[in-house]
This record gives sequence, C-alpha cells and structure tokens, in this order.
Amino acid sequence: MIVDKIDGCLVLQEFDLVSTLSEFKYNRTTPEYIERSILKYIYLKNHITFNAEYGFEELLFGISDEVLSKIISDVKTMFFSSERINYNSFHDAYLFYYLEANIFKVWKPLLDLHINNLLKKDLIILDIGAGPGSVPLGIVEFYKLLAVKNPGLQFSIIIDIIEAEETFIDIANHMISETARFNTSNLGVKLRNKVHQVLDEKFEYNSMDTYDLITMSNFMTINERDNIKRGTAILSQLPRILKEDGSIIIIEPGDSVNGQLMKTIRNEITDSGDLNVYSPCSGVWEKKESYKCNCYSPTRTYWNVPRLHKFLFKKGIRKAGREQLPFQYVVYRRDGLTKYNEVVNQQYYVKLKDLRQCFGKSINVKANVRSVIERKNSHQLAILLCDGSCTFDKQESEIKAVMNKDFLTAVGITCHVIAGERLTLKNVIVKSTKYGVELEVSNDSKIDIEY
Amino acid sequence: MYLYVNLFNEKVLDRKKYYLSGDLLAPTINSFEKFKDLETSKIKGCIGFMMAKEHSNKGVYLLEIDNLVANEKELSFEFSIQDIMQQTNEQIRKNLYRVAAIKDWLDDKKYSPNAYILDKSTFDLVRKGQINKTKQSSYTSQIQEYKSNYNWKSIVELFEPIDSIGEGHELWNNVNDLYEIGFACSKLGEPKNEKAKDRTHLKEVAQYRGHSIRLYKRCIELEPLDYRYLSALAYRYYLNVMELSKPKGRNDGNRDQEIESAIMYFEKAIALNRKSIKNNYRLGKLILEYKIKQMKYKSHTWNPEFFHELEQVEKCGIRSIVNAITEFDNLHEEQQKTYKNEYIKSCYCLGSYYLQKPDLYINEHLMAKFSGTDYKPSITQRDIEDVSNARKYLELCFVAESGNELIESLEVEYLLSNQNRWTISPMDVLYKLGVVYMYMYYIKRNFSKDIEAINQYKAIALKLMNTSYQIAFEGSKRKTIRRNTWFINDKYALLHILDDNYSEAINLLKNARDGYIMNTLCIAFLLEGKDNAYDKCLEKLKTAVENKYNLAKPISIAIMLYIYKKQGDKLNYNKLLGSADKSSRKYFECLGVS
Repeated sequence: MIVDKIDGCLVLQEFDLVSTLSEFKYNRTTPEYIERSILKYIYLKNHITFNAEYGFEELLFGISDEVLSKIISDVKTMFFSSERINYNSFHDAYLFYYLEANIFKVWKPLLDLHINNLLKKDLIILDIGAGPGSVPLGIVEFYKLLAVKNPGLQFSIIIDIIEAEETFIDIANHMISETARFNTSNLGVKLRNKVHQVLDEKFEYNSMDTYDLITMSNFMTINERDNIKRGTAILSQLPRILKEDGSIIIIEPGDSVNGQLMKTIRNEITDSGDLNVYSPCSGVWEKKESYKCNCYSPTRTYWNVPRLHKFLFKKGIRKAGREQLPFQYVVYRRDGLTKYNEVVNQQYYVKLKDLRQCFGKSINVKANVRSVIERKNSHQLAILLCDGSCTFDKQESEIKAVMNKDFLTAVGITCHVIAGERLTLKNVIVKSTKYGVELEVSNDSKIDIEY
Repeated sequence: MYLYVNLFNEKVLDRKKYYLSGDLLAPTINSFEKFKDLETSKIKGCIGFMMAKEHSNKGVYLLEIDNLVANEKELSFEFSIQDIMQQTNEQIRKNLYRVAAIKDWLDDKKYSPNAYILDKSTFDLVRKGQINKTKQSSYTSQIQEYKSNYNWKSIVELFEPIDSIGEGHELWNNVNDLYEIGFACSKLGEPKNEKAKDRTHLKEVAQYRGHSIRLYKRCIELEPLDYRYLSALAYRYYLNVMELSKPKGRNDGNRDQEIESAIMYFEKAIALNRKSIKNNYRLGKLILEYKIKQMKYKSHTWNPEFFHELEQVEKCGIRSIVNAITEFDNLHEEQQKTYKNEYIKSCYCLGSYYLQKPDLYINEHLMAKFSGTDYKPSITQRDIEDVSNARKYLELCFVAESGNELIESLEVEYLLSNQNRWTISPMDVLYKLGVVYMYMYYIKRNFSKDIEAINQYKAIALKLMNTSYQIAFEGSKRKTIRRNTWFINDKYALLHILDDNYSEAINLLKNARDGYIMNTLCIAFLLEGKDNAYDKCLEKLKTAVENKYNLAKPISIAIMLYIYKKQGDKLNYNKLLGSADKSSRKYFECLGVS
C-alpha cells in the first residue's frame, strides 16, 4: 500500500486488497478490550470498584443484580415502539447492547471507499449523533487492521463528535480513550472536539472544521423524530463542512420503515445536486443523477456473537443471539464519484426493465445486489437485483436470481453475498413467477460478484 | 485541467523547462480538444514521468508549473519539482497506456501521447490504478496472499491433510482454488538439490507431486475445455522428466512414462490453444531432447517402420518449436517481453537439435589425412540444410539474447558480467554458434572453392570459439562458472586442427582427461607428425580405452590399431583387433587398417 501525495489517500497495490479482504473471510469479532471498557464504564457509573486484573466472567458477575436488571429491562423496551426515544435513563443499556451491535456496520461503507482508493491515511472525521461512540470505534478498528497490515505507514484519526446527550459524550470519551491504549504504534487516534449541541437551525456550521468523513449512525431513525423532520435540511448543510473529496456515511437500522425514511431523504438530497450517491445504489448503465425509488434493501454484517450479547441472550434477550446484523446505508460524495463505473459493453446484457420480453431465453445480466434472502431449508439463495432501469415498489415487480449455494461454492464464492455488491450473471434463463421475474442458473451459467 | 507529461530524460529536470513540438506534440494536439485552452492558471495538477527502463522503479515527479505556452507549434512551461511521488514511472506509464488504449489516444503505431490533458477523475485513476474487485472464495484471498510471498507451504497447510480435498470437500468443485493448491503442491514437490538422494525427503516431495497431479486432474474434469489446467498437468510431468534427467538428480521415477504423460497432456492443451508459446516450446523440447533419444536407445528393430515413426515424431517436435517461434513473432512488441525467455529457449533448442544432426565425417576426414588413405568423406544436401537451420535458429537466439547482430563486437568482459541476464549462458550460445561456423568452414573448405567464404567462416568460427573459450576460462577462474567446460576446448582445438594449426590444438587439450578429447588430441599429435607422436598417442589412448565412461572408445581403439600397425607391433595389433567391434571397424577404411 502506498500513499498518494496529492490527496493523501491510501492506494492499493497488487495484493493489498487481497490482504485486507482476507480479514473479511472471518466474521467480525469484537476485541475483548472494547467489552472490558464497556464494563468499566458501567462499574464506575454505578460506583462499583473496577479491578482490571479480573477475568471477563468475574467482571460480568460483579455487576449488581439491580444494575443488571435495569439494563436487561431497558434493552427489552428501549425501541419497543415507534415512540420518540428519550435516552435519559437508557445510557447504560444502550452502551451495554447497542454499542457493539453498531461498531462493525461502518466497515461495509469504509470498504466501498477503500476498494476505490478513496480512504485517507490521515483522517479527520465528524460523527454526528455519536451516541456512545460506536462509529468512531468501528473506524478505529478498521484502521487498526490497515495499520497492522502496513507497519511501514503511520496512520492518524482525528475525531470530532456532535451529540445532544451529555452522558453519551462522556461515554464516547471514555470508550475512545480507553481503547486507544490498544492501538498499534503506527495508528494515532485523537478525540478532538466534543460538541454538546442539538443539530437544529441554530447550529453554527461555520465554527466547524472541514472533514474527510462525516458519519451519522441511527441518527435519522423513526425514534429520533426531530432528526427525521430535519434530515434533508441537516444533510444539505453538510457539504459546507465536507472536504471536496470527502464522504458522508449514513447508517440506519435494517427494517423497512427506517429504510424508506432514509431513501426519502436520499431522493430529496440528490435532487438538490450538492451530493451524489457513491454507494450502494450506483447506476449500472448510466450515472444516476436523481433517485425516485424507495425499495427495501437491507445489507448485513456477520459477526461472532460477542460475550456481552451472549450474556444478555442467556438472560432472555433473544435478539442478543443474532449472528448477523441487518442495516442500511448510503455513502454520499461531492465529486460525482460512484463505487462502480457505468458498464461500457452494454450490448452483451439485458437491462432488468426488458426482462419480461425474454421469458424462456438465456441471457446475461449485470445488476447491483439489492438484498439477499437465504432459504436455509432448501440451501438456496434468492438474490434480489436492481440496475436502476426500473423500480420495485410492488411485490410482484421483484427481480431475483435464485441459485443453490453449491453453485456459488463451485465458482469459489464461499463468502456471504451482501447487498450493495455488483453481480454479473451469464447464461441465465428468464422465468415468470407470481412475485415477478426469476433468473434461473444452470450448469452453463457463470457468475461474478464484485465487492 | 490536469497534466501528465513525458519528461524524456533527466536533462529536462535539470533545465526545469519543458518543451514539446512537431511530431512529439502532434498526438497530444490530435487527442485532446482542451489543448488549445491550456493556461497556467487552469492547471490544477501536473505529474512528470520518465519512459526509460532505468527509471521504472523510481517515483514520478509532482510538478508546479508556470509560464505555460500551448499553441500549434509548441507546448512549453517552466516547472519546479514539488515532490517525488510513491507511484513509480512504470506504474504511471502502464496506467497511461491503458487509459490511452481505452480512449483511443494511441497513434497508428500504437504509441501513446507525450502529454496528456485530463479531467480530475482520469488524473486520479491513472495515479491510483484500479484494483480487481471480484469476489472470491473465503480461501482465495488467503491463498493469493501467500502466493504473492511464494509461501507455498502455508497454502498447503491451510488444507492439511491434502488427502481430505476430495468428494464432498468445500473446494472439490472450485476449479480456481484447486488449481492454486495443485500449483503450491507442485512447487513443494520439487526435490531440493542437496537432498536428491535423501529417501525421506524424496518420499515427502513425491507425495506433494502426487497431490498436485490429482488436483490438476480434478480441474480438468471440472473444466475440460480450459487449456490452462491441461497445461499445468503437462508441465508437472515435464518437470518430472527434467528432475529425473538432471545429473545427480532424483531417480525415483520412470522417465519414459513421464515423457509419455507430458507429451499427451501438452498435445491436448495445444489442441485447445494452438497459440500457446510455452506449451509449444515445452512439447518441442521434450520430443527433440528426450523422446527421440528414448526411441533410439530403447530396444527396437531398425526397420523402415521404425524410421518412419522416428521421422514423424521428429517432425512433430520441430513443428512445435517452429509454432512457438512463429506465435512469438506474431505478438505485439509489448507482449513479446512476456515470452522472450521461451522464444530464446525455443531457438536454442531447435538450433542445437539441427546442429547434432548432420554426419559430416570430420574425424574420418582427419584420420584419412594423417594416414594418407584416399578416403573421401561425402556430404548430403540434408546435412547442409541441417547446418543451415542450426545457423538460422542459433543466430536468432544470439540476436534475441544480445540485442546485437554483430558478432565482431563480442567482448568477453561484458559478456561475463552480463551472463546472468542471458536466458542461455553466452558461453553456450557462442560455443554452439562457433560449432555451426566450424561446420560451414569445413564444408566450404572441402566441398567448394569459394575462398572468400572459407576465410570468412573460419574467422567467425575462431572469433566465436575463442570468445566462448575465454568466457569459460575466466568464468572458471572467478568461480562464476562451475561446470566442466572441456567440451569447448575440444571443439576449439578441432577448429585449429582443421586450420592446420596443430600446436594450438595440442596446447588447448594437453591437460584433458576425458576420452573423447584424448582422441582429438591424438589426431593433432599425428597430424603434427613429430617423432614421438605415436608414443604420446598410445599413452593417452590407453587411458581413454580403459575409461568405461568413454563413449568415443571406438575411435580410440581404431587409432591405436593404426599406430600398432605403423609400428609393426603385430602382437598388440592382433590382440586389440580381436576386441574391436563394428563401431571401431567403421573407421578402418579411412585409417587403412584391416
């Protein structure tokens, strides 16, 4: 890996991507020091003496029943309804459960940028609605991976956060400073500015620095009412503090309601023209200038269920046992770049909007993966596709490629297929189903998936 | 606007002024509409690169430019170097060429412009390149990482025991990964030089070769129409042949079977891809250097059917090598760099094969000369054609290796210091070419009256032989050449003998110990005709005859018989005659021995 002296980006050399991606072979694993830092905060907040010499299990059982009961109860009820969330009494529970659940989601958009040599070696980030600092921690963990693989490079991350909840600022401060001790010597991390403020009309953007990366995770969810109302307005201000070659990463929960809210804002913001969508919905055949669609397209991160979640699972919180975390994201940029280039040799492919004229025929398609449904019983995958040539508002308008997992294994794809990747299918048969159009693969079919 | 400019050489860097005009500027004007809008203030970034090979691994220059002039006659500006980038000249050159090819900026001769006027995204793309984003198996990335470090052991360790890769294994249908594992096994299957007799080691590496063959065969089952897997399998068998043929190499296999298997899979691979230079070369080499010898030395009846079969096999070998050479010639200059080694080896292999074909009866000619018989060696048109072909391919080899068509300009010191850059050692190429010219000299001298050609061929042969000899001599002294090079002395001496310069020949061979060289030395002694020649010869020849590895023993015996006859030593004559077989008897006519 080298550093481009013009824009400071990390430039992948021949085997660097392979080296980075070898980490993606495994499920994400939360380092123990992050979980110990979470427990340390809970201990200190609840006036329990924290002994760093204790083993992890000892620390878990050192939490008083009263504190634990409240955490469990809060995790169960926190986002139970679509009501506006008030974090006043939920900080411990949010830290205990949601921090870990949100750390690794940012890796997917970071990888999207990294594969096109758009990640800076020295990064200045602004995390809006930082909460307990999940996104900065996720970014630091990603950079730690790069730092280990490239010991000859000196990386740095400067973090500014904006957060309305003062307690969360304290938690974020605690988590970032606690975990920084475990960084490699060639990775410097600094939490610079902690802005305790609501991002409303009065917010002084002029007082802010300009950033390589601005992130917002779970900032515009259904439970954050005011933020949704102001979503487009907030986002439209961000280009003012985003560097010309910077990126904005929005991450939201993986349900359809939040997905639609995120896409509604996306459609409005791209119409204004200051920001373009970099990923995951880049046009296949032409650059998409504006978006009208609103389909549900969750992506996933796969992880080894961390110790704290296993602990909660044993205490009866079922969702803590999930091995995959659905979420939705958009990466915006100012410079018009998109994750994938438009396809040049279009003549070899049938656009998805024209598939209904090809029933029974063997054709080639190229499309982005919209979502993936795993049919565990039949060992099958249904990969929902989108190439930007049509929309998927109605259920019967779905276009999916259905294949046995063995088909993918045979061509070497044993990693998970996830939304936002680009799929090329050759020699697939077009079939009509009651849900829309299905592309059937056979032994003659070929498949390529791009990260 | 953003610029990439070809700086040509370091002088431009010293001058800090860039100037382009005429033909060097024309492609830029033709390719970039924005050329006419160029102004200093509009240039947001400029990078200077060097084309010359010696700058390949050096960083390109980030330039700040001033006083830019762009019109139909010139593109010029002053500049200062802001920084040296980490991107190398080679990377930028290749990326620019790729972009130029896609955007149709190459001229008729496929040359790219010297100055590029680009938008930001293309400027960035050239600088950063584009990585392959294709998703692979969970193992593929790990395999590729190890492969990039030539860490074959770690690849194999990912799947130990390798036996477990079979029906039902996750990778059993994954042709790409199977191939890579097979390749790693093949690498681990190569015996280490110092352990060629270590049974434990040989057993271990043989297992890896077995796995490699099994996995390659599975790849062929999965992709029977993909020539790459057939090539890989054929190459594994080919390596087995080489390992079993290597002096002091392993001997734990059946070379004849390996030759058959290699040929079979190479033929299948070539049937799917006739243009493969490597496969054609390897098949040709196998046939010409191994298969034909195998046929000749295996027990068989020397009947017309056998000769017909031998001729067909030979044709097949020659055709393969000629195909490799032709396909190389059809490649674009840039592509040729990839296959230059195979091209050189093809030329050398074919040239060497033709060189050992003609039967010129040089020894018989010289024997007749010192014995005074009226034996007249003959020569056929086929022999002349063989020598001519040997000359053609060895000269192609020499030109490709040296980049020089002038044999006169050979410099021993230069060749010695550059011998590692040659695919075939310069000593060997010059030696074989020297033998070709010696044959040509011999043919012309004995079968024509073209004095000019005779002198010319002799001079070239002497030059080549002398250079080869000097390289061998100096190389041995400096220990950069460690093998036996007496074969060069032998042929160099023979050339001197043909030139009637017997003392030079004797001087070259007087310390030799190999039997075949003793024969040449004795021929020189006998032609020199000094009083003690017979005694000297008998002393040398007795040693030569006692040497059980001396393949030229029949000549030694024949010459001894001649000397005994001349000395009137009937006792020894009759005794030796009784032990002479038909391979010695064929020299009797030219020696006047009966």
